[in-house]
Amino acid sequence: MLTKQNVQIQLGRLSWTMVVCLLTSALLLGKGVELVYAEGPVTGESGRPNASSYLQGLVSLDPAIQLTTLKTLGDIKDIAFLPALTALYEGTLHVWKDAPGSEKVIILLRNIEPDGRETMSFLNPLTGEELGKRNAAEALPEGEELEMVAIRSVEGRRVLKAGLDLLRLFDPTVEVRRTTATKLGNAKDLSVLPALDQALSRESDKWVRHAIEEAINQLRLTDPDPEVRRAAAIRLGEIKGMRALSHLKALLTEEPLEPSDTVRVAIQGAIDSIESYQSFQSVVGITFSGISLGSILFIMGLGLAITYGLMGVINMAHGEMMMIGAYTAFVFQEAFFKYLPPSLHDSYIFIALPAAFVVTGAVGLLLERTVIRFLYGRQLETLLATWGVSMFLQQAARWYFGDLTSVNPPTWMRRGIEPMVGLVLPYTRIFIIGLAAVALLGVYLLFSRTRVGLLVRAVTQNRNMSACVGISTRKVDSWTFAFGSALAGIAGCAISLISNVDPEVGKSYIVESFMVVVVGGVGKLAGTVVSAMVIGMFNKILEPLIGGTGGAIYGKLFILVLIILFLQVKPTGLFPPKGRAAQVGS
Amino acid sequence: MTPWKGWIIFGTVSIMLLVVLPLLNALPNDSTFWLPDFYLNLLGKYLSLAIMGMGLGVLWGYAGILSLGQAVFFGLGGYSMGMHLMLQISGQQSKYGEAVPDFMVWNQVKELPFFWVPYHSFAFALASAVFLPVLFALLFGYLTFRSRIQGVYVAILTQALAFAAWLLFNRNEMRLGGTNGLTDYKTLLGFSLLSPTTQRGLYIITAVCLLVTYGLCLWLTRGKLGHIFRAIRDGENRLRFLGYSPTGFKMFVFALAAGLAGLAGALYVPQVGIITPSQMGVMPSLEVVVWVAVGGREALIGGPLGAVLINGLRSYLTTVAPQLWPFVLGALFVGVVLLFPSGVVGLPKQFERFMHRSSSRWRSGGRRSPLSAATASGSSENPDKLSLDEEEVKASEGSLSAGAGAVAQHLFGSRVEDNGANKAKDGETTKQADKREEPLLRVENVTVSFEGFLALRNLNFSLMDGELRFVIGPNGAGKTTMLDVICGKVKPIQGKVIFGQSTNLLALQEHEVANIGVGRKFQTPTVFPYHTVLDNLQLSWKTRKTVGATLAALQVRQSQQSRDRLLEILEFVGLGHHTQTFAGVLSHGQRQWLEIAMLLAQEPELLLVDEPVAGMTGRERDKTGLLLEAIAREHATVLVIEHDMEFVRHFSNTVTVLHEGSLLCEGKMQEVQNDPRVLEVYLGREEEERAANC
Repeated sequence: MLTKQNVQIQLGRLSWTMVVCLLTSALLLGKGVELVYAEGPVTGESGRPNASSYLQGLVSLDPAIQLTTLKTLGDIKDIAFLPALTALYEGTLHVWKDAPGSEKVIILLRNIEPDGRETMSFLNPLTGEELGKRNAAEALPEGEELEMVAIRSVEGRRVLKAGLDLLRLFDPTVEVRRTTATKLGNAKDLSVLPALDQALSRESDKWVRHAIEEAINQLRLTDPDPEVRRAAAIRLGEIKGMRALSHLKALLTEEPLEPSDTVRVAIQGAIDSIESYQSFQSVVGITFSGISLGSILFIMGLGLAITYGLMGVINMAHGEMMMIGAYTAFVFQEAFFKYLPPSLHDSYIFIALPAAFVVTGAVGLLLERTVIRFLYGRQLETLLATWGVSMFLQQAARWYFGDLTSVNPPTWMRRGIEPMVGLVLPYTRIFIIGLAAVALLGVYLLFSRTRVGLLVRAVTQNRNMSACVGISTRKVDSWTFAFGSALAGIAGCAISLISNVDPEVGKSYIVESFMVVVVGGVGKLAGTVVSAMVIGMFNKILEPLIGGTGGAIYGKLFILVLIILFLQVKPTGLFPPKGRAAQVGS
Repeated sequence: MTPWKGWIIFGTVSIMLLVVLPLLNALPNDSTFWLPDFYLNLLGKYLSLAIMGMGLGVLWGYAGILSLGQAVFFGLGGYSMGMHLMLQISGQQSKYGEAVPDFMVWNQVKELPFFWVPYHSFAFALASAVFLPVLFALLFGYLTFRSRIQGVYVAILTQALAFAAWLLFNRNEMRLGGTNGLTDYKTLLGFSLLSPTTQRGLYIITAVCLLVTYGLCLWLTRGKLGHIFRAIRDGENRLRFLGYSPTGFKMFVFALAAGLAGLAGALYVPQVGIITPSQMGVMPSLEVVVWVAVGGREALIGGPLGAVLINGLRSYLTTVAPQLWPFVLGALFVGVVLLFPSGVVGLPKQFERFMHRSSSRWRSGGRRSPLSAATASGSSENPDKLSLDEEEVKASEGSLSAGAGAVAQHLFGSRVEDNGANKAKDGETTKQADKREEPLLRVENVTVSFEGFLALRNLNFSLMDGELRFVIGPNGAGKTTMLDVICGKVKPIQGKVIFGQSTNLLALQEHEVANIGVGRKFQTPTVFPYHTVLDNLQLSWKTRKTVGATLAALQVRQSQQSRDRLLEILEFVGLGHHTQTFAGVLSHGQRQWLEIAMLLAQEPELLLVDEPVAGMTGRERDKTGLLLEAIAREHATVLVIEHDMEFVRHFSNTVTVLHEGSLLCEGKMQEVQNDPRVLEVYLGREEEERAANC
């Protein structure tokens, strides 16, 4: 296996080898192909003593030699030749005459430099080492020549293609191995079966094994022996081979129909089993995305539940607090990428989260001290003033950051876990669900278990009485509001992971966040959780039900209507204030 | 401002808008006074928006309902007109010569969608522009107001509505042009929309519409309807217990504002030449709110004024420095709310008060006026309405001591006997012979549960016609809850409440209970602080209290007879000198009496009075007691909850004691006082304590 250290050492050795090679080539001035071979930096089972001769064979002008080489390479399945073979197939394999009499086999890679120039890199087909670089716009220097290597026979092309496919089964990247297996399974070419078997025996990754097995059994469905076909169908049912589903169905409905009765029974069984699994999977998928959306809604509604639910302040700039959180994440990401080594890039999120909390909290504090303080008890006025603030902040962001900026989730977050075939749960979403859970727990503990929480609850329930017993209600107000805003900052940070950050990011979520709080019942943490989850789930259930491009939008509309109807039945939300407290002031 | 001065201003503005400006525009182009078409068209645009601003002014300023979705109704009106204009072009002048508008051709729609067909008719389009928003507002208002969604909830819901409408109209499937909307109109009723003459005509029509709707709104809000709107704003619950169903009135005013917005949309579209979903979203709805806030929402003119001012500013700024406009708009929101809560209209008053305050602070060391105290504690929204001399308040308190007995005598003549304040209550009641000895109210087996806590348990209670009954009991005994059940505020989980012969009160809503003759006075006095005392009474005066009846009665002058009757009642409670005083400046005791007077104006058969003497001086207390006695004798059956035992002993005939949600005992005060159970409830378990001490 390749380790980083290993590669570096080998690259070092390689460059020495290169120098030696160049020198000898210059000295030799011989005919034929320059040998560009470096020992062993690649995987594969063969020690490949014949690497240079294989390359030579590939670029040979004689179709027969090329064909033989291709066939041999197809048989030995040495992954080291994958770049060269791919390049041959794609027409980027070239012979570079870098000096009179000296020829090198290279892969030509065209790139565009940061300054806009177009350049060509010449790469060693086995190692990827760059051997030379030329400006694409200009002619090659005097004495150099570049010649594309063609596939010289139809048979050669076929063999190359088949070989390539098989070779990809042994690609170091999991995803490539997996898609290759699937592709082979669909190709209905029984000749690849031995290769698949071989790949299966060497494969260790769970999902690649699954894909290979799926492919093998799908191919075996066309086997002449009914017993083999039957076994294949049964196995497909067992492993829930969803990709074979259409093939299985076709065997029962379209010509050529499956002739054997017993096989047909087995196929029907497999179809049933796969379909029930499929619907189970979609339920799991919808549930997950519902919970995930619910978590986002919750984490946004949480700040509102505090500023609005507890304090009665309608803060229309809450969305902009989210925006500030998102931009904080953006700024930190940029700073990390600019000033810190790459190994630290991925950890920006751990700094950005607390930073977003602090920055947004500070803005919230400022907002409370300058505007909201003067408007307590006048909700409609608060709504208008904070809306003004939100417009201000939005335009400021637009001015400073421009219209579109995107935050890249850390690389480790870009993947996901796959608990079931074809169901990928992205780490970003899982991260957000976790974040929501942590936030919920934190807020719950803060408000129910600490003295600070006690003070906040006291002030929000009876401001005058709290002042009478010596609580500084102004301070409590300020800090409660700042805390609610800071939570919005966290939400913004989370949102930056899953969507672009633009000045309107807050606007697009604010209406829904308010809906969450209203449906949940004002001032109820449990209500916020439940209503966020319910609204999230409903959204995700309705989307596929309505379908089409407008599914998401019509789903939203439908939910708005549902909310209005729901408020007919429960005007005070899911968790209304209880008992006599509910009667006070009404 | 005297009325004629107002008319002069109105007339001048009308002539300016209707005659002078169009004439200036009609001058030859090279004339010095020529008003360019562009500016007249711009003004026409502003005036159409002013109509929408006025609608929101009535809705928000008068009825206190803040709608953040006005642009939806504007859009409905605009689209109605836009569809008609689109159909005018398709066929003859359209690019593709198809029977459908061009944008449908691009979307492969071959046939005109069915809902487009009636818009060939101009009359239909016009009606749809106004009545489609009205109908939609009625539906939305019904759903919202019926379930008693109030205040910010309404604001948020209407905002969600705007958001939803914007999403919906952006979809191509709506067949309304998607994001691009409807545009590229050519003619209206055969007149070319490009010609300045047509545009001038449209301008004049818009100005006429504005003036007419202004008059209409003025007429509607001047009289009783305006009082009711403001009462909804200041005390919806009180209004409900006076027998009004706020739902109907709120729907009415919501629909009115929606209709005006729709009309504005219909006038706006031909002048501007385009309608898109972006004009009916969240932002444009909020801009309307800014117009009204800036213009001032306490006067009808505020909305139109703000619309013209802000849009003028916007047109100017977006040409000079488009980047700045959102900042300015945001600053306007914050600035107006914090510094000029009554807008441009309120500026002179605010200035006056500022000057007055600074001078009086210098004189008197800055005392706060009672109203400002009242405003600070209440939820009221416009603190700038009244200014009242503190002297006057003082003087009024003096007049309170006028003996209620004397007033009662004046009212009821010979039938009132001498009711000295020291009259003993020994059972010799002066019951009238014509009063029947049958129960007016029966409460049977009523149980009320607040989430498991039983506030009332199997309560049985009945009240004879003409009685003055006192209910006592420790805190938490369920006294107020019992009143709440009777007047419909709280619905029990079991039991019956029968009023009169057979009326089941539990099946009725609060306002219906009030209308069949049950008046409710709350523990803390709830009056309408921004209405005069007389208006407070007018609101409760026994008439039909539906929207229709109120509208029908708008033109009818109030009969002298009913006015006299109200004045009599005010004399009766000792507020005769305060008919034109704003209720917000009354003292606590005066508010209690005002509320009682309001109940009397309702002419109820049963009065539910919750702790009428709490927080009163001895003198006020005595007066209240006499008042209640007089009422019970002459007007109605009275049920009083009271904690003040001295007061109860003095005025009570029969006393009912509640304990832990059920009836403990009933009888004369002396009997009740000596009942061991009552002693135990009030004084604790003495026996046990004694035993423990031994």
